[in-house]
Amino acid sequence: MAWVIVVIAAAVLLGLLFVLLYNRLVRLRNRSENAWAQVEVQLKRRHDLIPNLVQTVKGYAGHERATLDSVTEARTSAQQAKTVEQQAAAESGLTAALGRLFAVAEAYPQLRATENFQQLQSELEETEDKIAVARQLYNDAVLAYDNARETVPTSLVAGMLRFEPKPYFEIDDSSRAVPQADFSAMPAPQDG
Amino acid sequence: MKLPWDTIAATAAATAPWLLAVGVVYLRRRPTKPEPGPPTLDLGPEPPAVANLLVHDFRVTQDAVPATLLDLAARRLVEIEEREPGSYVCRLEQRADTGLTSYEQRVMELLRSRASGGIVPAQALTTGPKEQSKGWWKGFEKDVIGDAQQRGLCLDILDKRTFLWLSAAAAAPATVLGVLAGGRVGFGYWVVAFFFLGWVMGLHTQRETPEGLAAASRWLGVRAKLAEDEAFQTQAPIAVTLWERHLAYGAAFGLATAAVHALPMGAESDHHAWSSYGGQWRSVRIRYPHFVPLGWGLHPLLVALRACFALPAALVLWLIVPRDLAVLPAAVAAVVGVVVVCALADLGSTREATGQILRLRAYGDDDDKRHYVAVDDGTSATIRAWRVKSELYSPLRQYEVVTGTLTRNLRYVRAISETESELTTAKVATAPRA
Repeated sequence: MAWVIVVIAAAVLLGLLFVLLYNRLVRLRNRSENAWAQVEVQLKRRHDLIPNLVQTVKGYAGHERATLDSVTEARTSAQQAKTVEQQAAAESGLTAALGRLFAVAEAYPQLRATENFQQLQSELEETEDKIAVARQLYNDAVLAYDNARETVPTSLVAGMLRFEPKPYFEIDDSSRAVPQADFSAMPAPQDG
Repeated sequence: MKLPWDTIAATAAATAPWLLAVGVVYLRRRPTKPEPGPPTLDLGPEPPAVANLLVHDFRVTQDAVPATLLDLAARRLVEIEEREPGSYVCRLEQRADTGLTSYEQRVMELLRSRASGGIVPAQALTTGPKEQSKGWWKGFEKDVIGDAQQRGLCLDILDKRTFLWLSAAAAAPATVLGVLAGGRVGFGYWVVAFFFLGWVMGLHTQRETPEGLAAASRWLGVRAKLAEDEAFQTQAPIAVTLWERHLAYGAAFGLATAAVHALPMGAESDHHAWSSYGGQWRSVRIRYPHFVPLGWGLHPLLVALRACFALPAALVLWLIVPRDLAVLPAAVAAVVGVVVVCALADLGSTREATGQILRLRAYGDDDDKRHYVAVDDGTSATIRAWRVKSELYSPLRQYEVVTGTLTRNLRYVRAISETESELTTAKVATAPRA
C-alpha cells in the first residue's frame, strides 16, 4: 500500500513540475510574441512615413526616379514579408534604399530646407530609434525563450510539446537610413 | 514600581478624552480612498512621483525614484541603454536640465555624482550606505510632497497648531499621574504620549484636497488602463523609448516591476559595488576580513606577540591530544609559524596603494569596533577591505581616491591620505547629496 502512495505522490509531483515548466515556456513564448508585436508596430510606423517622404522628395527631385522607385519597392516588399527572416531582409533593403534617398536629398538644399522634409526626417529618425529598441527587446525575449527551450529541465517539456525555436530579428543597420540632422547651417525656408 | 489601582483608574479616566480627541482628529483627517476614474491612457500634468503619491493613499513609495529616472529618460534628459541582456547603463544627455522639479534635480545630481565619462551602470545607482540612503530618500519624499502641496493636491494631515494642542492636552493625564505618582512618572507619561501622537499621525502625513481627490481618481483610471496590458510588467527600462512617459507612470504605480527592478535606486550593498576606477565600469565584490586571514589589519608586532602566546597553546594541545590527532597541534603550530613569519616580515616593509574608496564600514559594538576601508585599485574583481584605526577612518569619505601606506602581508595601514591628481579626479564619483 505504502509504495502505491509513494508512486501516486511522485506522479502528482511530476505532474505539477510538468505544468510549471510548461507554463514557464508558454509565458516566455508569449513574451517574445508580444515583443515581436511591438517591433511590427514600429515597422508599420516607418512604412507609413515613407509615401509622404517620397512625395516630398518627388516635388523637388522628380527626375531621381530610380531612387524613388527603389524606396517604394523596398517598402512594398517589407510590407509583404511574412516571416521574421523575410522581414529582416526586407527591412535591410529598405534601410539601404532610404539611405540612398537621403544621399540624393543632400544635393537639393531647397528640399532639405522645407519644414515637411525636416519633420519627416526627424520622425523617421525617432522611429528608427524605436525600431532599434523594439528589436533589442524582441531579441532579449527570444534569447530567454531559447535558453529555456534548450536547457534542462524545460528542454524536456519543450521537446515533448514541440516548442519551436524563434529566429532573432537581425537587420543590417550599420548605415542608418536617416543621417543625423543638422539644420543649423541651412538657409531659412522662403515664404510663398 | 507598582501603581495603586486608584492612580491607574484616575490616569485612565484623564487619558480617555485625550485618546478620543486624537482618534477623532485622525479619523476625520486621514485621506479618503478615491474612486478609480474611467480607464484611460491620457496622462495628466503631474509628474510620476506626484502621481505615485496620489495613487498610494497620499504616501510616496520607493518606486517614485526609478519612476522619476524613467520619466527623465522619456523626456530625453537621460538615455537608458542595454549593454547586454539584463544589464543597463544610463547616459547623461548634453542638454540643459532647466525647469526640473527639486526631486528631479536630486535624481539628476545622483546620476552626475555616479557618472564616469557621462555613463553610469544602472546597478551603481544606489543612494549610499543605509543611513545616507535614508537621508536621501527623506529629502526626495519631502520634495515630492512639497510639489504636490504646491499644486494644491494635498495638505499636512496635522497642522502645527493642532499638533501643539494635542501635545499640550496630553499634559492633563500626565499631570494627574504626576500628582498621584510623582513628577518623573508624570513627565515620562507625557513623553510616551507625545511619541504615541507622532506615531499615529505618522500613519498618514498627507490628506487630500478636492483637487487632489479628483487627480487621484484620474490617475487610478490610468493605472487601471496600464494594468490591462500584462506585458507591461515585464518591460525593461530601455522600453521607455517605446512606451515613453507611460512606462514611467507604470513604474510609479507599481506596474512596471521589471523596469523598477533593473534600476535599484535604494541603499547600496556592503558586499557588492560598481567601480569606475581604472577607466572602465566593473562589478567588484568586497570582503571585510575579521578572523581570517589571521592578524588582518593589525600591527605586525601585536600579531607576532599574540602568535608567540599561541605557540605554548599548540604545545599543550600536542601533549593532551591522543597521538592519532597529533596533526591538530601540528597544524596550529604551522599556521602560527606562518603568521609569525608574515608579521616579522611586515615589520620592515611597507608599500603604497592608490585607489578609490568604494565602501567605508564599521562593524562590531562600541567596545570592539572594526573600521574598514574598501579601496579599489582597479586590479581585482574581489577586494579585501583594509582594517584601519578609527583616527585614520574618521576623516575619510566614500568615493574619494586615497593612497594608503600599508604592510605587504597583514595590510596594516600606517597612513592613508587623499590623493589629488589629474588622473584620479577624473575618475572620482562623489557621494550623493543627502
